[in-house]
Amino acid sequence: MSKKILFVEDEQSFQQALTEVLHQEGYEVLQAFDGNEGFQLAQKEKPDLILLDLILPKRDGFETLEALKAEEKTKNIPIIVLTNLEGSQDVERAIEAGATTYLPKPDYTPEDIVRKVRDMLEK
Amino acid sequence: MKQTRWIRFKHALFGSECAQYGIQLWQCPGMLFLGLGLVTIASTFITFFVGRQHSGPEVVIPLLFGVVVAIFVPGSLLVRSFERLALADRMKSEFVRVTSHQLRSPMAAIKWLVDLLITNRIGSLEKEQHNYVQLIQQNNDHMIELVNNLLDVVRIEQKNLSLKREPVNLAKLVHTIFDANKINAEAKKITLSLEEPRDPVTVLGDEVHLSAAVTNFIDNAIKYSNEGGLVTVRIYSNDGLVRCEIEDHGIGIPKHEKQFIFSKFFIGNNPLNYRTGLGLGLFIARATLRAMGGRVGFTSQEGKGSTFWFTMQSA
Repeated sequence: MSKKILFVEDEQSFQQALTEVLHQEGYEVLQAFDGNEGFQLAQKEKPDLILLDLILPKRDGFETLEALKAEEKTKNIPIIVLTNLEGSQDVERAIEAGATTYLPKPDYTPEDIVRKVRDMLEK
Repeated sequence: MKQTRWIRFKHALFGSECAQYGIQLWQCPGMLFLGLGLVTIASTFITFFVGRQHSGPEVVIPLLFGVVVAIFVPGSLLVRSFERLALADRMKSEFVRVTSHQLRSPMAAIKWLVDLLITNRIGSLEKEQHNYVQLIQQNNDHMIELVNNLLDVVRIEQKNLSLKREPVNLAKLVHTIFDANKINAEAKKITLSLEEPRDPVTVLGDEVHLSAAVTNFIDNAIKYSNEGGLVTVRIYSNDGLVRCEIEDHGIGIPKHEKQFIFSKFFIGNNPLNYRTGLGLGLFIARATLRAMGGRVGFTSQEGKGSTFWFTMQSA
């Protein structure tokens, strides 16, 4: 049974590019376009891993991250934060809120991210 | 030249931050403090001498009122000046945050989409198409690097650079940089050589920023070397201190440019510098190495070559 990945991202370009690569690598991808949708889908589907953007409509990525880590059903799901923010305060805040790792989007290609996903799911 | 030196001295004395934020000298806190001090001293003397001559309330009260006004006016200007500087500083931080997201976002999207094309995830490209798409990728990566450099400069100036402290194997780092520069070096038939001690040398620092700094030194050594030249990296370790030298035998640095080598946005007059960047590489390299507790310097002779060096504590 293929692993389920939830990708929470509001920008179409990133959603389309990474979802395509994850599909080709055999993962089932659940797409959410805002923080609320991401939180609800995580509760319902209990994915094996979550990829989470930080700048999101309706509920931002930090709040979504904190909510996911506070919830019994989702607190143990590994979360990779993908974002364009790179300030040290943002990184610290995401890691303190429970993100497993933080990847700045301009520094990683979809191929790099799939490798990280694979490594994390194999652990 | 004398006038420029006087202006630089004034700004150094009264805070170069005012010049940086476009605040006029007379509105700068340092200048206003001095003015306030002079007014206070003058008021004291005036009060003393007038008080000696006249002690009646018809003189003393207006005099005291005048002294209070004379001190209050520069005092309030001083407070407003600090508020203006603080606002300018907050706007700069906000600029960093906005730029960070707004500029980097479309560049990251291009990077991701181009990567899908280059890796044939969306069907195969013909050879010529592949070449053009690679050019798009290179230019986009260059833009990302320029924006990252600008953001680094702001963080350095705000003393907000976040650096890890972890052990970094210096020779291994240099080998990785050599591999990344192999094609550039081969294009000019330049030999890259590393001399290292027998035992592995490890420094305490941020690997990403250390790699960027050393890459900058090696890139420059290759760029300014003549064809068929030799670029040598030497690593020494002695008494807990590690020294790394990057030597080339290329064109060297003209005497009149040496003092500006580590300055922000400095691009020398050499035609090789045309269109290469923003002139921030060495400024950032020195700032990050210093922030890691290191020292940086260079020696150079025009026509003979340059040696850039840095020292760091070993791990």
